Amino acid sequence: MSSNSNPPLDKSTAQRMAERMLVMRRFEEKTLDLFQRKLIPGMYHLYIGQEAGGSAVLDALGSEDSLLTNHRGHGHVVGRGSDLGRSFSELLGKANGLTGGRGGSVHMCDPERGFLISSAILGSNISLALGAGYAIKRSGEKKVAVVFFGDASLEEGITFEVMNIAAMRKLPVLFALENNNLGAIALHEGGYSASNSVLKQFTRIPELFGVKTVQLLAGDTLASKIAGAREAVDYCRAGNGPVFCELQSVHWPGSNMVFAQMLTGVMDLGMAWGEREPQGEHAGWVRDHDPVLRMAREFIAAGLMSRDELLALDRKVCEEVECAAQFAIDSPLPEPQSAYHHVFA
Amino acid sequence: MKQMSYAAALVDGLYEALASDEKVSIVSGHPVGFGPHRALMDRVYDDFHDRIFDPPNSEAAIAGMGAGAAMLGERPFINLSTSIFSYVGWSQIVNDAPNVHHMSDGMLTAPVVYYGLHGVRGNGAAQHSGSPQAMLWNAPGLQIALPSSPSDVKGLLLWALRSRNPTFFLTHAKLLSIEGPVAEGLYETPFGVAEIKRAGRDVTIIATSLMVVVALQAAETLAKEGVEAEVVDPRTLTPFDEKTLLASVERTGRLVVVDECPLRCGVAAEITATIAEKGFKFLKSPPVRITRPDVPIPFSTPIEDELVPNAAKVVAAVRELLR
Ligand SMILES: Cc1ncc(C[n+]2csc(CCOP(=O)(O)OP(=O)(O)O)c2C)c(N)n1
Ligand SMILES: [Mg+2]
Repeated sequence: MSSNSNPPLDKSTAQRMAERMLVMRRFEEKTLDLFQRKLIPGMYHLYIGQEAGGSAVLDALGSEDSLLTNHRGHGHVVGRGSDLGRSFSELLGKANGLTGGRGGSVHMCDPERGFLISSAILGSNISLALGAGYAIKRSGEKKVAVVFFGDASLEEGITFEVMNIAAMRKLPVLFALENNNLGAIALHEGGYSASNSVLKQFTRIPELFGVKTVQLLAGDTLASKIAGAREAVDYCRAGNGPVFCELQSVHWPGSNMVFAQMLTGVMDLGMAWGEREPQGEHAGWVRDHDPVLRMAREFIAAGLMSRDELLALDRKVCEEVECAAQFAIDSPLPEPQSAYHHVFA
Repeated sequence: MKQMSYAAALVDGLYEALASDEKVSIVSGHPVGFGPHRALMDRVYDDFHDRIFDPPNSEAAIAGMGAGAAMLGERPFINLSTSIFSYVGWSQIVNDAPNVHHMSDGMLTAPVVYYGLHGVRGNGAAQHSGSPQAMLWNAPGLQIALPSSPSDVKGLLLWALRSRNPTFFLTHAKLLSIEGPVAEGLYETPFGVAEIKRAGRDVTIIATSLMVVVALQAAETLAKEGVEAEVVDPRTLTPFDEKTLLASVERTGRLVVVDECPLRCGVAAEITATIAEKGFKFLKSPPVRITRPDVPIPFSTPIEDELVPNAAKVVAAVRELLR
């Protein structure tokens, strides 16, 4: 969405968006901290840098909608409102985690909030979302199935098969592409996951199938992103068929390697209004591309929130995150014998 | 002989294969992952840059590409990374490559080498902890290699890349760092030849891949109790060296099979059935299988540990067997 003709945001939307984005960010910063303290076993992928597009889509959803995500799904899960303590507990493999310590970082789910499974197999979650769309359509309900996936999923054949069927059956599926490819370091340059496709304009794929596309570009304002996300969700909900929504973000430098590093420092709201200046090699990302700082600037400029309101909200979020992390740390590990549970229903 | 890690030996084998046969090429150049071993591949990239293709995440396409290229005489090494990603290219791997020779009445063959890391790597959860070898063993025409040592990984790889048949070559994340002596230069370890990794008279422990290491640890513990376990590694499932395994059971009269696949129709099931069928008269007691139970692998450490075969479980089973 690059049009500037979006309706101005109202204060309550701004408040919701700010809180959601701060929760996403502070949750992930704490995740990295917990990992570095050796409290998180295994692999994990952080959502830092992608908060704007994801939040806009989540904000456009209703409580009855279904969601799926992939390996980089913490932001989607906590942004949907899942309990932070149980989310951290899952990352730590604790018994009271969202999935009892069974799924870990890459398989979080929360069916009470419509959050179906996170699949760590590229493309699989997209096909599962096709099924959710199929079920919703059969039920006749005005619901939407949203699936978040990365640009690498567009390299898998199944994604094309899914688009074809979704278009053919006009299924209410919102394909939310997390395109974090701007500035990503490719494999051959020593990085980990930059897109490896002859296609640079990803929206050409859905267009092949006549699927409606909406782009939320990295440089768009949040007001514009929210309008774009609403347009996408409403179109889907109205029974017009699937929508492909590209959520573009500038690659967060910290996730260039397999295990993330806090190369950009812990987010400091004061940098949104020049109280402090970003330093170091990645100062440019912080200054120009950090979606949370951009949000703060936009909301202040539009008179939607004051510095003090933002700082107070951030303090509240930080406290909640700290509390939730401590809850997870203090929680018990699963009993060995419970390993055998839940093989069959 | 040189002391080196399993990962280094694998890379050495790839290097030798590329250097000695210009038909060899690599599709996806990070068979030892993106962690501490990544840099081992630097010299391969430096010297054979134009023979490595880092493909998109398109497992079905590269699996078919490998088989098709092999039909025209290429020797592709198709790295599927975590071996469970092979499920995305399953049809090409189990239904195309292994059937080409038969379907063409013996006129064609598709000697591609598929590669992947199998098994419980630690907190990989249900989707990244699988061992596809038992399923693959049900695909006639497909060779399966499960090297357990640095020397074997290099030698078996060089054999696979010269074989006339398609192969699935499986390593294990927990094997990558183990060290052992490896011969320099070009050598092949033939498929279909089991190796006695440790001689013993009291019980035969047949194990593959990482479970060989586990079985050897168990054997050490048992030796302290006066029990001499023989650890035998088939090294390849297809072709399968029944003779060496049967001869060992004939000597010891007792069998334990250790395997990381789930119990039902797992690798241990087939090995045990073969020994029971052909060596029933050697057995002094019923054979024992130590495997993953038929349960998905969970993320959290205590529930993962509960399910995975380890040395303590092997020791306990042997003690029970000899009681
Ligand atoms: C079928 C399959 N192949 C390979 C992988 C390994 N893998 C996990 S994440 C990833 C890269 C994903 O990139 P992208 O979709 O752009 O998501 P991002 O990490 O950038 O959010 C790969 C190759 C996988 N999970 N599934
Ligand atoms: Mg990406």
